[in-house]
Amino acid sequence: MSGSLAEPGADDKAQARHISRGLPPTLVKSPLTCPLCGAAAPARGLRRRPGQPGSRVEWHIVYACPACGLIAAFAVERALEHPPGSLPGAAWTQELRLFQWTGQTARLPQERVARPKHFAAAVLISFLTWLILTSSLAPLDLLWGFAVSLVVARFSYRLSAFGLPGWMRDPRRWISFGRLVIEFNRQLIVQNISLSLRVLQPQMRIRPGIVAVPTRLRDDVGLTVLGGLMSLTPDTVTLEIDRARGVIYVHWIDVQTTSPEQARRLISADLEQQITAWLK
Amino acid sequence: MSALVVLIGILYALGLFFNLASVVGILRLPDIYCRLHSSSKNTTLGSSLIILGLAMRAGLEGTWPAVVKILFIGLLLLVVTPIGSHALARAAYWQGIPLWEGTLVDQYRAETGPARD
Repeated sequence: MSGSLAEPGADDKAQARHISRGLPPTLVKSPLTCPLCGAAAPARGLRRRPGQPGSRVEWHIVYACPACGLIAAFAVERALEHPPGSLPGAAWTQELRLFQWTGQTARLPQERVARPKHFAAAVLISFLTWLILTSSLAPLDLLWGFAVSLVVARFSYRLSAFGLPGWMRDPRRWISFGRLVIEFNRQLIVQNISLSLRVLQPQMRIRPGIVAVPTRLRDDVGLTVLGGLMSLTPDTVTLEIDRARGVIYVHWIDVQTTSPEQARRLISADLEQQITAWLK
Repeated sequence: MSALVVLIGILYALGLFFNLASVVGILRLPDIYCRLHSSSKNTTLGSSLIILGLAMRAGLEGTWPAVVKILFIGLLLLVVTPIGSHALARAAYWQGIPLWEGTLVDQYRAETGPARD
């Protein structure tokens, strides 16, 4: 993140001094524990995040880890609420989005901006769902359905903020999609039989563990689909998805390997190949 | 006609078997993460089979709106179950619910490390 932070100009320096004088000394002096290597990372200064004038998260405290080069930027307002030394897990996941592993080329994907047409699409989808579930065309039902759709879309339209991708207009991709569905169903059935046998045996043989599975997918749709399908297929439940690095952490009920590449081959390679063929 | 009725019965029976296996799994497995395997996967296939059977029965009776509705519910189930289990697993992990002591490896903790405390 530091690369995209603006170099402070003269006015910025004055403003940064003004803000840092208002900060409690413990906040600036207490180092952050580096989440990568555990070393103490001291605060390096204040930087302004460009493009967000006047917003509550305009100013950031920058921490740099001397051991591994990790740079973290915390919004000042958030750092005041949760001093970095005492951040609980839930708050950390929020702030981790701001981390950048220096020396790696991985970038965080751009957040897409929701537009009115996405709102309209969300209303349409909700309304169609309502029509199918009520299967009624009475005027009062339609009116209620529309009202409910508006409310639902109000809270969910940001999730539909991706354009109609190319694969939807290309019939050949539908064939790839069909292959994906078939592969998924095969794995679902195999998986269910093996899991059922596993739990019904008098002596349960389980070797659970959490394993990192690297993927070559980086886009949100692909990672979401793969993460979702991996919850339903061989022996794994998706625990966490690292969007920037394309790594999916899974809880594996029968750990067979701890090598990331081997885990990838055993767990996700088939599905990933189908998803790539479908989205490419 | 009667062959279809038998097929529907088989679908129900298989669905019941997988749902039963899911309940057994939830009761027997040692921690929340293992139990999520049972509660997400076995119930998905079990309920899908029952839903398929229900849709065929509604088709036999000729109530087509019901068929569409039942299949749609099945689709929603397929989409929602993995997301729900992922959300539960992630929330449990960040809340610090411990893994079973027999757990072999935790690469997630190894990589995000002290951040979790």
